[in-house]
Amino acid sequence: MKLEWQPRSVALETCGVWARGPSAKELAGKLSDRELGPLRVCAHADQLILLGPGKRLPWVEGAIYLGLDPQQGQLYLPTLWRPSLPLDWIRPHLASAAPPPWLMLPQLPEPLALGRCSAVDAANLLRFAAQP
Amino acid sequence: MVEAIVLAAVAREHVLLVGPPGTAKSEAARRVAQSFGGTYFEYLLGKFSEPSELFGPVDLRLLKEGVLETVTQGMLPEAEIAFLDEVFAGSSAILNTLLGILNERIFRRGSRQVGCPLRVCIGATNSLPEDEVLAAFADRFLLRCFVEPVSDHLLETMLEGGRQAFEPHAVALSELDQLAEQARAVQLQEVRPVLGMLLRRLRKEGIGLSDRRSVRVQNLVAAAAVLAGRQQASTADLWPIVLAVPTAAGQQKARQCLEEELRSSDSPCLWSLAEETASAPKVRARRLVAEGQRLLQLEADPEREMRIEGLLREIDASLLPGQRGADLELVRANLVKSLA
Repeated sequence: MKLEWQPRSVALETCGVWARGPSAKELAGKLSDRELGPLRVCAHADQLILLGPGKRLPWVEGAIYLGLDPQQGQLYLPTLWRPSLPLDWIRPHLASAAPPPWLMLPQLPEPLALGRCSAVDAANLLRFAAQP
Repeated sequence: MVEAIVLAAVAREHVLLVGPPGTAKSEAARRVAQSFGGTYFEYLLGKFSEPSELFGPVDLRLLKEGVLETVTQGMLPEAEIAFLDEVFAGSSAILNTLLGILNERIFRRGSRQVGCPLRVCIGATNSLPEDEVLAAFADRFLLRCFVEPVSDHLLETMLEGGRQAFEPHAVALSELDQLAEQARAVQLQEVRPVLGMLLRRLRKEGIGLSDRRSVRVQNLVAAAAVLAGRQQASTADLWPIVLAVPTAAGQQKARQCLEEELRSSDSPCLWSLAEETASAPKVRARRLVAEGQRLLQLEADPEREMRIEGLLREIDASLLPGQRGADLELVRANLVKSLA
């Protein structure tokens, strides 16, 4: 079932960023020059996801900033959008498919289980940035 | 704080700054007084302060003739802007006389009554009084500003600002008086029903405003409208209602429960205060435009780049494209260009 998304009246506090394709490579390139510190980085196909304190997250054009829904714990959502369906209805389906945390975005056809993404360390960021 | 004092001054109300020592309360008051250029009176009250220290000594020459008169020259009754630190520390004699000055702008001494030119009184205190009598006096300060020490991520900004000489933007007292006059004439009919609804919502949440505060909050709304260039108040001007809530916890709760209703808040010249109060997209966009323009003027260096990234991150994370407005979109485009 395709989810509809609505703008949030108040943005979530930023604690992550998602990028895909060229934006993801640019993000990886920026990160490779910096200390990762508290940031956790993971990748899935051509997507890069960073989780951590908002002020440590780099900026690239096309990146989507993420926040945690206050009532749903480990579900990352865009800071500015929320699904039209109540999250209480969605969460049990997420939990039955994979352990948390999860990521849901309008740009993704289905939720992404972040635990199943590959962790990316500092050494692999350049490789990610260089991939075709 | 400065914006809060300006709003109170235009509304002809008084403002109470509540916060620990060293949070620039007196500095804010001095800066506003310097901007307006009016006669300024400042005093730190203590439990042993005598009324003559605020209101002036008795005129001994006239006293010998059997006339009780106070020499008020240079004292609070002649001040146009006043700052009273530890305002609740004074004796009941001081507070009783202050009540007349705050409420009616009248100084009473014996049988004599003198009109006071006071535009705004800024009171400061480390904490709100619990005593009922003092709380009644405190209710005369309609606008409450709760000040905290600067948070970690703003320390550098504070250090930078603290070393700069303050160059006052000249706003004459006559301009302030003109704005106050215009505020008195602001039409409130359209927003009264909404204001009533907001007050009811606050009561339902257990946030009580006294009847006096509920009525007088209209003065703050009118002042906000005039400062936004409007002679008819709109829902964009209702944000000061949060500042009339008497406690810090109450203001925090009011911000949350009125979040939706205050989304349309806007204030071209008090956007910092409006954003703190209402988290509305328009005022946030104004602040981001101002910050972006400031950053673009700095010399290019790695630190500026990081700050530009931080600002772009905030723009993209907190405002939908449709909420940004043309000015912010332009600033955003220039910031992106500067990183290329």
